[in-house]
Amino acid sequence: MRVKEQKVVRMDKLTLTVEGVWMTTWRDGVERGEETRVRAIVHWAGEKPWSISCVMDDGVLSPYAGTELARQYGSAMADRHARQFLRWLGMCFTDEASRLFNSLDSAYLFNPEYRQKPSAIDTCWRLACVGVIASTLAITFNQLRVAVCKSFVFDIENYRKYVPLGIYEIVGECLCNFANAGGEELDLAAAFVELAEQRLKEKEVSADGVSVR
Amino acid sequence: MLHKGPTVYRRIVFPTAALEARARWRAVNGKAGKTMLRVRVYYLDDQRVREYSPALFRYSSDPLNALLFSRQAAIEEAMQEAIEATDAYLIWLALALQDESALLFDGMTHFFKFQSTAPFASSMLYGAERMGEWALLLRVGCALAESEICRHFADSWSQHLKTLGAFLQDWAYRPEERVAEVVVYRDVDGQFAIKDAREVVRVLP
Repeated sequence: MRVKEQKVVRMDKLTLTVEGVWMTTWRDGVERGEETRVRAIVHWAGEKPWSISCVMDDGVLSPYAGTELARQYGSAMADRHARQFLRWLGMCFTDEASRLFNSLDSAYLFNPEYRQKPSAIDTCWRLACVGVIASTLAITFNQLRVAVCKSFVFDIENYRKYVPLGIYEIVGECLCNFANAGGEELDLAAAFVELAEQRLKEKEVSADGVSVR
Repeated sequence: MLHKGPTVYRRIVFPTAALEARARWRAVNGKAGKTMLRVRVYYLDDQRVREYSPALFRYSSDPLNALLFSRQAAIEEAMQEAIEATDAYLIWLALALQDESALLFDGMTHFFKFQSTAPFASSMLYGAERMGEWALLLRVGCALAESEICRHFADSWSQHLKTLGAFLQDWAYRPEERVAEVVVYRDVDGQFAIKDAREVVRVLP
């Protein structure tokens, strides 16, 4: 069985599709395990799309009461991991290294300090898993950052207007909000303008001495 | 100008398999340089070799090619860099074999700057990426040592693993040669034994 959930982020000429795929894995002709992958499909307008993927989770097959329940579970897992990936992407933009580190650790438990007598081989395996995810995140992050840099946000007028607010922080916040809300498609440019304008208004009001918060 | 330094080899030879870590410095675009580590497993019985994906040790800004006045000095610098890469692999492997997870984690995260205190999330990600490649190669080393020792020295194998780890930790810093190896063998009494076989450098398949 294979279930797919997609999240699409559009920014200027880039369409980034984050696809969570949950599937059962077969060995010796028997359905034995399950695996959740995240695939990031990078599509620049006028160019051929390409993708990278990583395994986010794998393990023994959960016992389901029926096919429909299995499908629902798979869909929830695929959605959860796609959203988690987008949240981590958001943290990269907001530059919250500490939060990203802790979030990765709570997902993959690689820090032996917080576990009871982990074996070194297990620690190596967990670090290797995180490395693969970090690699996928880093590539996706770079692509999206290039798209932001090429977009209207970096036109000289907009740049002057938005740079005091922290352009990448706002992009990161938009991604995190989208991941938390659980929507299917994000027009990052529109979300950016909306959030940035809101921040500008808040700034103006607080400069007058009246806080809206 | 030096394009490639000499390759440094470190091997652990078990009764039926050998683990080889090899590292080499090479110039990148004629300006900077990088040192890569490769790990190979030789299956001695059936003459098979398996090589794993290489891992980056580190980039070096141009200290080596600055030494244009002396090619020999540049070669020595390049070899030193490669020795450091293989040393790092053996030291971390030694810690892993001794089940020193906390020390291994601290050492690797510090070296690759994969820490919660990193100034930028992006640099932390690049560190994690490189660390992941190394972790995979370390896992290969651990798995081979574990399977070989379990297979040939089944009695108190976990103790033997720790002994090998302790031996490697001392040994890793010592060899200055280009090729050096450790042999895990059965001594005359049939017991587990390890020796530094510097002068016995074998030709592997």
